Amino acid sequence: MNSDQRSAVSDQAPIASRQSPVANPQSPVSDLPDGDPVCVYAILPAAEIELPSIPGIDQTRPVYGLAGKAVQAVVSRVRADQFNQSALEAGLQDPAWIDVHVRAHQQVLDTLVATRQPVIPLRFCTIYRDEAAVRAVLTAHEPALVAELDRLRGRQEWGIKLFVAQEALQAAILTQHTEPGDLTFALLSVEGDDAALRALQTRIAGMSAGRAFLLQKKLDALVVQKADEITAGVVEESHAHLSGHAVAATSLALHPNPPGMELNAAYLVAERELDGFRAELARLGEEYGGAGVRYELSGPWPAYNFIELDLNGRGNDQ
Amino acid sequence: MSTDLTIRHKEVALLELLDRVLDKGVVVAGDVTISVADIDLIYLGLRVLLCSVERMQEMRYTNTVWHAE
Repeated sequence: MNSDQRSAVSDQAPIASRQSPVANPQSPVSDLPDGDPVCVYAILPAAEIELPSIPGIDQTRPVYGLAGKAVQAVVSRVRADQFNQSALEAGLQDPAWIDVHVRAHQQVLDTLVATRQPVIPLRFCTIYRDEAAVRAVLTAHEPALVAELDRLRGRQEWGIKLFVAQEALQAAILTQHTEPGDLTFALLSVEGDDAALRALQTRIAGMSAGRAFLLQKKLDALVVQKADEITAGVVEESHAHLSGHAVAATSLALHPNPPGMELNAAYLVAERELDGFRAELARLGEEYGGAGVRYELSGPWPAYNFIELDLNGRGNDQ
Repeated sequence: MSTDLTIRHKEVALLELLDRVLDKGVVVAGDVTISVADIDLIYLGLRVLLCSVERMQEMRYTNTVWHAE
């Protein structure tokens, strides 16, 4: 997008009701059947944005903008026979249907985020009877929508997942802590029970098989305990340091697969702080990589986890 | 903004998408044609289901790589 478009103010004169502020010449709205319901993906400022011609969750219908006064809804028609109540109920029971349609939904959101405009993402399959119903929502909630978009302007959500390979960490505990030059040494030495571990290792080496077996069990338990402590410390420190570069941060539910996920977090990062955020992530990766710790970055996302807007409590004015 | 670190969402696990799209998308009251009242339950059910489905896909992927080598 060029700077002229970015500077378009959100309180410009309302656009004629059937015209789309989303520049999308391949989707003449007038060709679409008026009877089909309207799926809403997101709400953005009314400023004109450039979008490639992309389909919505109904692959046969393109996405377009539906202008209110200061905000616009990004919508697509959906065929009534494919997206009615019973069809959706059936679809939502089918993981393959969900996969295809959730990814199509997110494709629209990705495209909107790439315009650098603030984006309020609506829940998957928010479907209205017609355009008038969508406009009524925009009108009813306009001040709150404008305030929320202002708050989100220039900010992006990024996801970070932290994985710990337990075998690598436990190996590091037993070996690397003997080398003071290693960065991991400082981490592993914090708890102060290295001496106990090393004494056990030494004793086991000179023992009969039976006693060595029992002591080895004790050593294994100590290593697991220490690995847990280190993991908790790394998670806490990582989240604290990354949060330091974010406007807001939140931790999300962990995923059991793939194994080893110890932190799943989202950060709302100001664009000007993005380099610092990434540099912090790179530093953490270098510092703890030797202890079996790995970070995964995803984004930029719409600010899913940082929306403060509550539009659920009241209806529109219809 | 550089895009080298931007993850394409096609590569993002479905569960991560659902955590946001189904669970965190803004719910707007109004003349909604489709009731989304049950979507919280659907999301929770999918979480449970996908944990095993994704593991299956992972194993399948590993198998493919194994055979390719």
